[in-house]
Amino acid sequence: MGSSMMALVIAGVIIAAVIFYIIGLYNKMVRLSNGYKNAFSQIDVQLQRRYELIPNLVEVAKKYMAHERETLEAVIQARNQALQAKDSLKSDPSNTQAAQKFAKSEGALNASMGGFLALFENYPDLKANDNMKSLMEELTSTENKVGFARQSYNDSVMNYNVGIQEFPANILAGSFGFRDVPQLEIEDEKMRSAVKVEF
Amino acid sequence: MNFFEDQRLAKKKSDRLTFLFYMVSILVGVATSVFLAVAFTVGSREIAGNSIEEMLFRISSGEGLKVLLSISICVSVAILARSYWEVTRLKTNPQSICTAMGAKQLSRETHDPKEKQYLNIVEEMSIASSVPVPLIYILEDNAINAFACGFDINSAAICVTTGCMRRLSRDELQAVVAHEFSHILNGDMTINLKLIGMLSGLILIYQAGYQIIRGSRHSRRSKKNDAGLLGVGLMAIGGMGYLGGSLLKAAISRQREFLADASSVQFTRNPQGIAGALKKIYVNSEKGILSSPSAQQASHMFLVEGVKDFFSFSTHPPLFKRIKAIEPKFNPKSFQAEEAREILKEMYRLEKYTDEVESIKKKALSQEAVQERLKEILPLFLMYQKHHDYKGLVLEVLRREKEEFKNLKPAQLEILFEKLSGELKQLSELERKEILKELIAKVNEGGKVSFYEFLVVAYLKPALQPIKVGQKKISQAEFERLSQTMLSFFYYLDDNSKSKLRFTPTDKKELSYGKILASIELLRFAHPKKKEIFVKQLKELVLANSKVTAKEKVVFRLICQTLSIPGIILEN
Repeated sequence: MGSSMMALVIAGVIIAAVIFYIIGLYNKMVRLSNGYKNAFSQIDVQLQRRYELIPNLVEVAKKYMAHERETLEAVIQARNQALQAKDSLKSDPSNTQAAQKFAKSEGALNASMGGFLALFENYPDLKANDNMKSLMEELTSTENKVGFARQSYNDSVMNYNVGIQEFPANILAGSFGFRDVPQLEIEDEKMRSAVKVEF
Repeated sequence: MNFFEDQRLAKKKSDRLTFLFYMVSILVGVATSVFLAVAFTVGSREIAGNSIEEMLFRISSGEGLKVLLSISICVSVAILARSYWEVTRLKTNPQSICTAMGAKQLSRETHDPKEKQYLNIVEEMSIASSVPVPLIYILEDNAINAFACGFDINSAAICVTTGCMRRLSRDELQAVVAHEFSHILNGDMTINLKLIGMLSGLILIYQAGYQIIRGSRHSRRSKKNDAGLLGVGLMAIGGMGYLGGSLLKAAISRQREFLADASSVQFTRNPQGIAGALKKIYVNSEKGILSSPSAQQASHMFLVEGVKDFFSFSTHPPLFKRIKAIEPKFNPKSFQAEEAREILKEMYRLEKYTDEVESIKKKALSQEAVQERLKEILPLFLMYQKHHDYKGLVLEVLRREKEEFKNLKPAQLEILFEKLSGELKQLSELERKEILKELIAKVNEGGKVSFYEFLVVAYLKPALQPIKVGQKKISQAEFERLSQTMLSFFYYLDDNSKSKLRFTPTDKKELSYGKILASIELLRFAHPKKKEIFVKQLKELVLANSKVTAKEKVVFRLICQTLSIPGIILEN
């Protein structure tokens, strides 16, 4: 009797340890998946900030480059389209068509912003304007933030994927409903550098 | 550099070292317990007068084990209690650490462009590392250094020196901030605090031994030897444990620095950032040594070693090793020979630029200086301002009949014109038009325009008649014609006849103030590169006869201002 009790106790301890281990694994996976979801929302926040910033920038620039009207209008138009595309994607994130449209309009916005910023070289007055300088710093920073938000998303997706593929988590991940998540692809390698501003 | 792999390696190494550190601590505890147990048994034999055989028997029997066990419990409780006490003592909130260092907290509503940039960078790195935005501090110190503090990801602080902000590029500052974010994310301050706590537990044993030796001096002679032996033994064990622990702690700290460098590359995805910042510190003679006297107590948390200390182990790896970890091709010797000078130059360029911006800002801000210079004319100025009679004021300035305006120095004149332009710009278009018409009419009245009248018009016209920039294209031929006119004008401003000229001045009769005014206005439309060339030629001419007159200075400044080419100062 003594020995069977002993065996029972040992078995109980082992089972409890396994259960605690599984709980720990599960919590780790939840933490990782929350991490990448939160990172995704950051991208949205920063894109929105950028869309709000661009009109201000154009407004200040207008006073100095009145005859570059076409470029300025092109920037605003591209910005409006990108904003629209982002909102429609946000309402239905699984829509691949909306995602493609968003990627395309983002590309167009980056191209027109690139053209706009290249014009600055011809306007030393504008470059020297304090207001413009601080707006430019804001734009640089926001561009960076968009880039870093994407990067942080990809990093946390990578952590998550590694987390659920590692042994022994991989045995349980499927039954808990954790699946691999694809990373964001940057359609255009130049996208991040296109709008880089140097003063 | 494969930063994920590097991070994994650094983490693994520091985990191993941490494990070793705890093993050493346990070993010291066990050694102390065994030593005390033996001493206790030997001591009790002396009192009871037992034989050595009996003593050995007592140690190996259950009774000895009991003694050993109770002593080990006492020793571990003592070590842990001391560690805990030390940890709570050191665990201050990040604000008080930063304040003690002499750092000042940054307001989020700052208007200073450099501070704003720093704030933005911190926000960027917060996104990149998924760490909440910490408290943000600046330390007034010209050394390039930075630190992070706080024992919790949600209540951390980050601080950079003003040297960082002045001497590093945006990318480099970003990398430095990213490095500090890694310390916050990886909980390096907490690890360090735990290690300090354990070390202080180990030093407790050493101190206990020391106290016993001191205490034994006052006791009986026969007991003195035994107690001295006991003290020496404890001091030896504690001392060796402390030494080993310190070595390990420093080694762990160095691994955490490698980890933070690799994380900085992960967050910024830009190895040149952190490498550039480290190189700047490397070529700088003062390295990262801070002048703050309270830097010592926070030495472990800096970007690079913040204090000179020959008696403790390095908490940071040598700079060239860190740079080499990021750029495997880095070679200190060839670097010193080739790259170093360029980096120094770049650093001083940045620093100088910041200083210039700051000094211009300070000048612009110091209202007192302006008031001082305007002291004599201010009452009159205010009188016209009160009656909103700007036309009257402009004409008064032009006439120069009032005593106040008669003998103004050039510097005062400039300020007067600047202030007046500022006021005039506020007026409605109609009012400005009218004032301009009147001004031109008055100037043309006498038939001959004086230099002073020319100055008034040249300074005030842009304010009265805003010119739309960028609407005209200036051809090369036209540009040459314009600069010829201007150079000739300068030639006649001062006695330049003896100096060597690179151009033949136009005949004096062909020049008129009207023509010069028009030339200045047209030159605004020239390409920036051409403007620069023009101003350079002008400067050469002015400096040619080694004497810069007040007239030349005023007009030169006027031209620079109109062409928006700042930063060129004429000195003889």
